[in-house]
Amino acid sequence: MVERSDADKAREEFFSEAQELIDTLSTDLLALEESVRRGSVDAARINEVFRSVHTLKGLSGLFGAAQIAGLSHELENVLDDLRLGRIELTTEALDLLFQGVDLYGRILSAERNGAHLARGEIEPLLTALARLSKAGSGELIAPYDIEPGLLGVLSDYEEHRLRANVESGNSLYRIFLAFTISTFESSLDAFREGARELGEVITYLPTGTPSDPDAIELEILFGSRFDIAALRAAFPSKRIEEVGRRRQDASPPHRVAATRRDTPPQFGSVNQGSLTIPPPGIVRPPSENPEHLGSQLSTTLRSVSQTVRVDIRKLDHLMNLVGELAIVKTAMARFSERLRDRPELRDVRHEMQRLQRSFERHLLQMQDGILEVRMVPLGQVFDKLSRVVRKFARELDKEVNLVISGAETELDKLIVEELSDPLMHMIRNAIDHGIESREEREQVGKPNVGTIVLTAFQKGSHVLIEVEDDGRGMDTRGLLASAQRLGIVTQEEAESMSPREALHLAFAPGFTTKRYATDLSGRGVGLDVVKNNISRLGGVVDIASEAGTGTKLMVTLPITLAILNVILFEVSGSLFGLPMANVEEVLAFDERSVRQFERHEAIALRGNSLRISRLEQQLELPTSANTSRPSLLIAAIGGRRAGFVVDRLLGQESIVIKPLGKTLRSVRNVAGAAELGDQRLVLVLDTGTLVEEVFAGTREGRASKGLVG
Amino acid sequence: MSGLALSPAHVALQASDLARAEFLGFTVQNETYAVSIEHVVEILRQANVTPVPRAGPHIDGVLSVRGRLVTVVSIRAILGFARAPLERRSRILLSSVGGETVGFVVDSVLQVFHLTPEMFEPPEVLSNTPPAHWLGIARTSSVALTLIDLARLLVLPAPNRTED
Repeated sequence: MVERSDADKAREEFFSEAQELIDTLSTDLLALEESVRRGSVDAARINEVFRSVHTLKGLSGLFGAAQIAGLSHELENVLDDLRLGRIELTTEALDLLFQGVDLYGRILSAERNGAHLARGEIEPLLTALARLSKAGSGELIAPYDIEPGLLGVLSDYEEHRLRANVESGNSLYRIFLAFTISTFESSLDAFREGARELGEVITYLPTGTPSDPDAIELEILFGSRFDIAALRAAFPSKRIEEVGRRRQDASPPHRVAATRRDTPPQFGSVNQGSLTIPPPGIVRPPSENPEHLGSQLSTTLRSVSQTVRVDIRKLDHLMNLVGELAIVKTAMARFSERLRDRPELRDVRHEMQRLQRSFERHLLQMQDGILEVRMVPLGQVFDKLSRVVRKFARELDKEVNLVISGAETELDKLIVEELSDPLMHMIRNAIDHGIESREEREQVGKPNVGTIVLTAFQKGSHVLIEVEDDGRGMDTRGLLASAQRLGIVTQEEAESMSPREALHLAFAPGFTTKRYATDLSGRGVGLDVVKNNISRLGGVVDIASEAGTGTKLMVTLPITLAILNVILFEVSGSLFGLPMANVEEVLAFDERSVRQFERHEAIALRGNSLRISRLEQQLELPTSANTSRPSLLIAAIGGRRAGFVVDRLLGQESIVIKPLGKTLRSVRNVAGAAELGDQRLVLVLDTGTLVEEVFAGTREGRASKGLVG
Repeated sequence: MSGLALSPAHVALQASDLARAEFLGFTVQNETYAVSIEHVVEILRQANVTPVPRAGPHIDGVLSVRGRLVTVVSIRAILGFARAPLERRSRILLSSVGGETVGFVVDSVLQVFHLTPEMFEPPEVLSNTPPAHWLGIARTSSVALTLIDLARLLVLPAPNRTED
């Protein structure tokens, strides 16, 4: 494993935490939008959003992520105005907030690559946000003359204490104290203790101008119910100033705010060589609900949840170790097998076998445990998609309602990450090419607002994700005509194609929707790209469509890529594996049961025809001489089923699969390789491409049409 | 086109690089070649290479080296010579190419040569259009070596590489 410095770790931590906050933000905004659409404003939700932005601001201040801090600052102002009802939650405001979330994402990915976003990409939104918050907040001024720099570094707790002091009518003072550097902490504590009768040390800040190099001078913000004379009497030799109060009748007396946006924020700059000063913040007025404050307080002191964030590579490493242990396990089994020839060691052998069983059981539990840790809910991607739907729909001037179900369905983290692009393309296609324009919908008597249903559910060891729209659907004749024009099929082929085959033309390389006759905007992404992405994850895509009613894309994915139960077999003297999840049935293969349909072979299975393939031929392996007891593996994926003839079955094993290197990327039928207990490598075949190839062959001859299981 | 990125180190060989250069000499089809020792991670003797079906003519298969999967390619096949089975003297040179560990099968490994600038001649002394994987030739007192770049060798056979 790569050793990384603590700084890198902390940075990585920052990125993942920021990303999490942004995701939460996005979810909350969507909920907010939903509530606005229903005509009510969810005040608690605004508070949630505010809290996320505030936390993000604090976090980015710590990491010197100035652009995030700057954006957070402006968003915070707007949100503060929103929750205090100073401005209304209009569509415009909501749009700006959504744009903010988008911008966060872009800044974050730029920063992750060590770059910064150009000012031009950020400034317009900042200006728009500032304008919005100013519109409603003319009366908000800073009643207290506290330096913005000082307010900016207050922790949540200190801010809370400051507020508490102001609320209870105490006065604020600046007390300047000088300490010797070596003993400054204990001296400060002593001061704190001694001053307790008089008031409270809210915060302190080095002034950066010590009179003596060994001394440190602190500016202490002190809240007290006594007047300045009393304090001067108590601390005779100290410099004490009262913090000026610029009270205005219009604003509540307890509101404390720093100067807003008078100077461009200087993030991460070093103040007089002593402290890093985050942007000038505003001290928030007490919140309407006191529990809110309490919870905020506790987040700063300790984390809310008992969770640990882990780099997925660490889990991969653990999973590899499990794989190594499985190898040890097999070696142990062979060893105890050897003891069988030694009757005098019978006791040893039994003890050994007992240990082995226990080892195996625990290993299995460990494997399951690691797999479980890798699982994340699909909701993570779905939330991003809702944002995309909003954006595309607006760009294309269509109204689209996204209905999501099954967001809680869990998948391996790596798969979920890789899913966002293909799903986004699918949804973009649905909005662009599926959903009709408002007028068109009205004409055919459909509701103005188009609907896209995004559904996920688990089925065995697979997860199915469906994207269904209620748009115009695909016209198979149109598809066939386009495909012919593009030279993907000949006229002869086109004429003999089943509707299902015709629909699958949409996945053919080169058949981009861009050239599809009904294309409106010309920005479609080829479904072949989607299909390739999905098949790289070991999944398949299927399509169903009815002209005038809508289109449904169905993605079938394995739950995890990390560990596989495979069935092992030999073909032409080589060892291969096929994921058990795809194997429905294993039969003894009887050559006499094969029926020929021109060059296509099939057998009858419980009254249905089942297409079969001789794996030896399909994989272009040398013909083996002896196949005394061949078997037929019946594999199914994405609703298609085919039988594969193999020479000999060898059993079943759990393996940790490793992908082939880049050099072998173009190899179609192999999903990866794994090391077995006896150190042999087994190639794990990819069911998706195998099954697909079997049926792709049908295009040359029409005979086996309709044999789809 | 292949997505393999060539590191700058692979691109050009300056005569000045040779001042302290060590090259590993090996043979393929009775010819003597050498690669910069910096690009050789490890030399394997016997190994069980698992063939990968439909991987293309220049691919021997895959190999697990201490739990890591390595693609094994045949230099013979890439250079258009007849394939030969792994023999007693055959070796697999492991090299990191574009972030992936690739094993190159050679007929035998000779020794490490310390080359000095005066031994070096640019590839153009042999051809106006030298093959892309040639870095030059070097003459030692005992042997003439074709200096090659393994990463570029891998880019050569593109017959069955289609997308990215």
